[in-house]
Amino acid sequence: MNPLIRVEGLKKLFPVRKGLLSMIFSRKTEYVHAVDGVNFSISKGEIFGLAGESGCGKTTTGRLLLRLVEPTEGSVYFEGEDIFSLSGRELLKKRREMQMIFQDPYKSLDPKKTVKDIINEPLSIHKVGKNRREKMEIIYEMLEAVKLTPPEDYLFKYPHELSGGERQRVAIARAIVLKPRFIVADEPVSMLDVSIRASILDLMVELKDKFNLTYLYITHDLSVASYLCDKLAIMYLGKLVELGDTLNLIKNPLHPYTKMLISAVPVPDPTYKREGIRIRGEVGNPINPPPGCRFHPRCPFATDKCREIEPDFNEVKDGHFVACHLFQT
Amino acid sequence: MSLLVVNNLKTYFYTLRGVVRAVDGISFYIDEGRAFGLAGESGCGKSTTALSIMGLIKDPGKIVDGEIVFEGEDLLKKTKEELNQIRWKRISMIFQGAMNAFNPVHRVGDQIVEAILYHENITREEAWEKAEKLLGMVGIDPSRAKNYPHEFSGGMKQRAIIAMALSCNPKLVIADEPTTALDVIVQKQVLDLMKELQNKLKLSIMLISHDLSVIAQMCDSIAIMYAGKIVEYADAISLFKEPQHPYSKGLINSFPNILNPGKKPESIPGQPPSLINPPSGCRFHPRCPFATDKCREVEPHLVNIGSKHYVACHLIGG
Repeated sequence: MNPLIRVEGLKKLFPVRKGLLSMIFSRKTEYVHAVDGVNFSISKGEIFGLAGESGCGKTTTGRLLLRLVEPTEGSVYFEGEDIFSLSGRELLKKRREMQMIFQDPYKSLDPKKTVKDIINEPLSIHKVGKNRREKMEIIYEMLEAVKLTPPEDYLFKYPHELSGGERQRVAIARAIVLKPRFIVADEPVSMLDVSIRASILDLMVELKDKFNLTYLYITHDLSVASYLCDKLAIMYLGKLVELGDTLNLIKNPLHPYTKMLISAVPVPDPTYKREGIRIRGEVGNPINPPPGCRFHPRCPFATDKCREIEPDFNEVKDGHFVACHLFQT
Repeated sequence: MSLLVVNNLKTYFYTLRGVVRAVDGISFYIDEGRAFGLAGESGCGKSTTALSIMGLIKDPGKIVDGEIVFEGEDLLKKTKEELNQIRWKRISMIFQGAMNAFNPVHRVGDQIVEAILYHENITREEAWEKAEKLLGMVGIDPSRAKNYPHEFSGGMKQRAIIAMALSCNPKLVIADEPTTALDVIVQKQVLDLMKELQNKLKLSIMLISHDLSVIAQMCDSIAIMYAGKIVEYADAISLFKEPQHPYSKGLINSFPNILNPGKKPESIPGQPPSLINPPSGCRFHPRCPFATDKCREVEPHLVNIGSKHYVACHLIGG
């Protein structure tokens, strides 16, 4: 089956802003290697998890997939079409098919707009709905889909009158109102209270089945990813280190970084005693990433080869990819 | 003997919209060398409880009732000067987001020295030496005391904050969401450090967090707070293995567990209530699937259901 999204050699370097003196005396510009050569594909109907620590490049990857930032190198194919080759008008048309849900529903909704106006905005930008009545019908349908019922109670409310969970539902309604096929969800529940997180995630799964959506789910929380995502990719310093079916990856992680990450996740069980890997060092600098394998300074198994040669991202078993010299023949 | 006993503490905020009953009659105790966890959702009164113990409740807030007995003395009867002597020297606190509260234009070492000199009668040189020793204790190279905060990573700043909290050898450290802004790996390092220091220095810790998994791994006893009240209070293992209150059960079920990735977490329907007009009877009744007429009318009190396991629910223990 053809994948919905295919990412090839994607790279994004951000130039580091320099002071006046260093601009005069040195010619070399330094770059933050936010995303540094990433390959993966997302099948239709899949929830693809992208996990890693802050600063590893997961959000930049998500924004590149929607062409919210321009890449330094590489391509993103949406059903075989390279979205970076689209003209402005073509891109606008394509945007109907791909939307984003942001992390913080307290910041992502315009405080001066009512719920109706917030959900209506994509409709008027993309000229969907012939007249006011048709638009209203779509808005009603969306509010019902995200379980803000009865819709009349919410239409004329402002974001400050809503709870965090209700706001995130409005943000989701705005993302799906154009009936997109692909949604990038960037930590959609990390700002919400724990007791209501599960209901938002349930809603996302329900909408996926109802509207045939495909998600890229960006998160730092492996325990959420472990039950929500079909596939999971682990990112470290701008590169994917491991990718596979979620259950398999969580139960049999291969890359030492994945093992370290999983063993650091707190478990809601006071009797559980973890052995885990001893954690060493801190995340490297994305401006001057370590040579060879980027994880080698923290890796307990690092050899000379790891310090010099960058490991390829290879398939070791069906659909289980890992970038580590320990697993390459 | 317990190091800290909080008895029927009530802290209210007198706002223009009405009286916010942020903490409404809670009681618990912390034994010497033990870790106590206070868990609950945002706005349930966890941080207000901590600030009440530290004597840091400001207008329009007021402690209207109760006792806070620390080493046999009621802190609420102390004068401001006496409290200044206790604060930081005997009870210190790691505030939420404190790692971002370092002054960016002073060296980290100087900021720790300032805290020490305020409470102890020693020279600046001695204090600097002590600051370096403290940094060493939390796993930071002592020479880094000369660095400025921006030269530290997030995890190092949080370690430095812990060093600062320990600078006057307190008996009790209150940690309010000490790892919330940190990545999992750094969080694990900081929690491991706190556990290690607790054992080494025989500290008592009061850990406040919305994250039950963090509390599960750190604490000996746990209280679950909801809308200004403690709904369940027990040792960590009974609380997680045999939770009794529907809210505790719901909260525990809403946490995903990476060791059991097939199990789907469940959310609790509804929203936490307003603390200005809390629901009558049991405050959890509007969200409780088992609520009866009694729950809507009569407020349940904490009752002992055996081996120091307390629950405030009409369904349990009559």
